[in-house]
Amino acid sequence: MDRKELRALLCKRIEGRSSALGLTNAELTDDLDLLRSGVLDSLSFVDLMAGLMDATGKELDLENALEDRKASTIGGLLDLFT
Amino acid sequence: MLDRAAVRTVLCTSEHASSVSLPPSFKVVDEHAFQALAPIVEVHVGPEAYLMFTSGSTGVPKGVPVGRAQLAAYLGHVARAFPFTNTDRFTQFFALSFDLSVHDLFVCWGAGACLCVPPSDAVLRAVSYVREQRISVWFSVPSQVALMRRMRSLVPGCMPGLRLAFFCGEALSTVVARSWCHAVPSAASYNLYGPTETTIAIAVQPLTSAVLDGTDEVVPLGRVFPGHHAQVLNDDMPSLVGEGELVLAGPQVNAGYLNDEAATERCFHSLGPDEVRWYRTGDRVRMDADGVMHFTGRMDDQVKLNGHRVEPGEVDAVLQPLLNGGNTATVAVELEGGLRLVTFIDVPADTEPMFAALRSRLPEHMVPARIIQVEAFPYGPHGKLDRKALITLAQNG
Repeated sequence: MDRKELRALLCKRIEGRSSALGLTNAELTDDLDLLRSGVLDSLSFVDLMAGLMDATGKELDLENALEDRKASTIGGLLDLFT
Repeated sequence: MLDRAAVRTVLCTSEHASSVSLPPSFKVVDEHAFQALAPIVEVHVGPEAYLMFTSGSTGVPKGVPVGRAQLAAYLGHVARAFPFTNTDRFTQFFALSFDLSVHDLFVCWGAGACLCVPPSDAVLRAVSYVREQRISVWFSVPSQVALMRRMRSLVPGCMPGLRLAFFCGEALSTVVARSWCHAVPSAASYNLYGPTETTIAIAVQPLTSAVLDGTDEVVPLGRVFPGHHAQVLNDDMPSLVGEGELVLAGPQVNAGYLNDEAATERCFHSLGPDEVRWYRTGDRVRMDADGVMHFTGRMDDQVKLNGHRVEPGEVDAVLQPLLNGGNTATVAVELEGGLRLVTFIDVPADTEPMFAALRSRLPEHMVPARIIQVEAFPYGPHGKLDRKALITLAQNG
């Protein structure tokens, strides 16, 4: 799965919460931090990461991955899974 | 809530002071004014230790004044029952607005131990946090463990320094309990149970191999602490065995709700010839012959989200005025790896102002994950809203 496809999948998965916050697709930029912006809570974020692992077949140690503060941004997630 | 609690002074940081609008009658003290505070504020020492608000089905949160005597009974029992020492290091995962934080603070300090205040991201890297901070006593909602399972971080021997672990705030699934005990064999682990009205926790179930190998989907609530009494009400008849609404009595049971006679009369009753004061929990349990309580559900629509009590009616009460006569119904649904609220409405409406209203009135955990519009609500044969049908509808997208 390339970065563009992964971005589309990620945006689709957070669509419910992002639209509830009034965020348009154009506002879902690489530097948007999904946790600190309140788009996702920790449970939804872990669910998203688990979903991306399933979709890409890439196994990650999520605790280690989250040591990098950028990992909770859209760009950080795309970096992790592509 | 501030009105009901008769709050006169609000302590907060200057950052928060500018973000809340309070009537001029409230005195707001930020960190800059704090040093000058002592001679100004007169402290009235009453029988209450703290006041906690819980979700109310009518849209108004219920205030539970917890007495110092009730809290002392809890802290005294816990200090006697579990082998805490002054070399222990405790987690503090619970927010201060959650009554379980009172356990974090005072059980720890009562033992002369060290309380470790986690950074906000610790919940997502709990295993690393426990190891870094050399935590020995763990206390969390079961959802925290479910999250760690999902992150695949709960592996055998991952937190060898833990020696005591407690779970409280919501039902602990046996599957989750098994994973925990498999990963943390060094810790003696316990499931605690207790509504806010009975002061933090009032019953305990050790996570023994018999419990973990048992057939219950959720870990039993266990037995009430010494000096307390538990019965089940079936058709308003109290019994020591069988299934029904759990009622509790004893030194940790509080007097009632703050300025809410109706709710107090509904939930607190004097029963028997001795007029013992009992609290009706609304929890349906099966009491076995050994006095062990097994949770089987709720008597009403109340749900627990990450340990927070939520009355779906409180969400509906915020939205109803925005729907021009339309109806709203909120249900809890297994979604996105956890239990979530989903609200249904039966009229077309822009959801953005609805979410804005919810966010301004309710804590984050009560804001629904989704608002779904349907043409008409499903009803059962007796004309009652079919909540199960709504849950299925939400799960099927």
